[in-house]
Amino acid sequence: MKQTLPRPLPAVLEDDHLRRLRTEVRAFLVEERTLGRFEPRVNSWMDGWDPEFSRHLAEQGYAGMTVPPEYGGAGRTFLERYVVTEELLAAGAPVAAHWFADRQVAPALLASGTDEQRTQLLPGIGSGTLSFAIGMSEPDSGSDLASVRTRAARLDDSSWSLSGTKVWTSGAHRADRLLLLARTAPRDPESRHAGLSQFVVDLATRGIVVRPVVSMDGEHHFNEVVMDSAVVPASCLLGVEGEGWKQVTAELGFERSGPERFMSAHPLLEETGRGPSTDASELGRTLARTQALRGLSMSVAAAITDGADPRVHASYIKLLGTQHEQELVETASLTADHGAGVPPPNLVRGLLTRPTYSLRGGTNEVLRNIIAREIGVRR
Amino acid sequence: MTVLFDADRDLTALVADLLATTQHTSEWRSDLDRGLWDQLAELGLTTLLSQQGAGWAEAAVLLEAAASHGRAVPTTEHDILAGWLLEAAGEHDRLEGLVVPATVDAAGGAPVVPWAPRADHVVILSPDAWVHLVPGSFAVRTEHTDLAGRPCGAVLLPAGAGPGTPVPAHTAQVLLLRRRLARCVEITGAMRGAVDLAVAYAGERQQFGRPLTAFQAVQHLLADAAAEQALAAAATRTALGLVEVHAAGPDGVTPDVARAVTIGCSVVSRALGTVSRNTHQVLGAMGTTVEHSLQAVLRPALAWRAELGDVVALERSLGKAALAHHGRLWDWLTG
Repeated sequence: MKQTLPRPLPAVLEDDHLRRLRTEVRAFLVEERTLGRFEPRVNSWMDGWDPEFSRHLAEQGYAGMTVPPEYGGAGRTFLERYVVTEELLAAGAPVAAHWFADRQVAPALLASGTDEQRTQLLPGIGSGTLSFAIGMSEPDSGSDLASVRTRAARLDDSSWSLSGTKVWTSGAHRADRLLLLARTAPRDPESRHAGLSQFVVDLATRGIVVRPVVSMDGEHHFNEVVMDSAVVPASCLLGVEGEGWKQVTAELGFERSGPERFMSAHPLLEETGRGPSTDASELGRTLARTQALRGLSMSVAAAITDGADPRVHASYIKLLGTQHEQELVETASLTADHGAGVPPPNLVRGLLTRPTYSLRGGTNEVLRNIIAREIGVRR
Repeated sequence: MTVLFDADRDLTALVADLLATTQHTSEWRSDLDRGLWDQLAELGLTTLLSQQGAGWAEAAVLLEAAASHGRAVPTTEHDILAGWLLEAAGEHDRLEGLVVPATVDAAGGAPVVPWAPRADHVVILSPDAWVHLVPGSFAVRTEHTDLAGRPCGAVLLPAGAGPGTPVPAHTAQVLLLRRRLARCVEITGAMRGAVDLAVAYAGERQQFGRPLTAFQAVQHLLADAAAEQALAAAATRTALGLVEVHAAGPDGVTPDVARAVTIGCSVVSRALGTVSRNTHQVLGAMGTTVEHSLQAVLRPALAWRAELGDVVALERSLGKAALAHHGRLWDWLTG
């Protein structure tokens, strides 16, 4: 029988070095909590914006970890970053302010940025002081990202004029920079992915207006970013013009495979998982699945460290992981009994944020299409 | 330095070649292919763990591949279990032909022992930790066929079997762990074979003027099955890696190895539910017939899953251990 499934990734077994790092981070987080610097929060990587915490984290070497030392970072591996990240998420720590910069902008700059861009931007990411929002989706372009219409027109002096609207831009109302995906060449139906470029844009630029989009949990992290002939210097272009799609898809491996894809609701499990009505077999089943997802996610981190692009495995993690997060919230909701009391805030957060889990960063439906393509049942 | 656990590529290729000629017999029964068994034995592949000095990574290659092809190759019984038990009893040179293990109760009986009717010898472990090696013809009382169509025997330790050899008290526990781990590997392989079959079928079968793969609903069933299989494979590989690195010491199974195997049992069992449902759904009515090879791959997987025991009870034991731990569930999970 022809083998169609992608080769499994090697399993990663934690060694003493990673274990020590984990213990270190844990001790740091316990201290931070004791000092009252944060409370465990569901969806903390989206809703937990705390620049002071991010900066403090970077001082310990726990943010901007994969930025090389020559650019002011700790020069750690993706596996080391993985361990630190999952500890932060397990604790529900407020990591939103440095999240996007750390997770995907730093790798993008290292892969595609000019030396000037790296020198200018990486130190700030490494110190947790330069925050980014990601400007990709638009009102008419969600899953179909290649259809974005935001236009970057080159002016006579080589600067760029940006016009268009981005939406679902988390943190744009507070971030320093926007990583923007825009059309630099007219759309070619024969080649949908061509003519796209990315820009690193200062959000304080004239002609850029950020409008809040309030979520149904009452939180404001999403925004609409409207650009009306906003002019940015030539040096804002990330790498080579027209390589935007390639850059974006390279970023997706990092985006989709991380522990945030199955750990968003973990603080809720800690809070409610030991209740009087806890079903031990249900808990065991949940924890077993979390453990398996961790194993798969760690394998991807190791593979990325080795320079591979385990796209299908990243898709597996996101597809299975976000469903796992949603089910965890559902179980907590079904077994909760507040009587006349108030439901725990993290349960409410879980219920009101969980629809986003299977939508953000690639919907379940798109991920299934990607997997289907990789296993040879979709063109 | 992080330890990575991966299967040997050359061995994988060799085994794939040997099993490539899938002869689906269209029979309800699944009997031992003596020719294949002898061929594999000649190459040392039926005694990788017990006699060839290989590790679990290598043994898993054969288990997984045979299961994915729906080929009846009882290396779990012979190499991983009987071979190990004979070694524990100081009789490793008695591993010849086909030997299967049986763990008997206080009355000396084990009602369902796969492949016992075809075994040259049965190596019996009694509750008080004594090992007896008994010729198959003396040990097997009755024969029946299990849900996978495999010949199974009711084994009884003969009255005049002799005292046997004493083994450490924890032997039964370790044997059970080895069985569970091997079955996780085999079920994972079977799931891979099932998805391969469903993918192939969906590409060929035409309805409404196009192949089934033209329908997104079908694509998504297969994508979900592939994802579940990958998760099961990841859990299994982690368990294999831990077993390899932390070989059971004199006191028996280490807690983290036992936990990893239990986790594997849960994840693999649940994945089989999804994979069998989705692959059968894609294969349509054809896939429910003896004529088609899907059932040759999935029926053994169901039988193996039954051997894991009460999976919900296993999950309960995980939950209880987590709850008994002082500190966060996360600390227990990562500890």
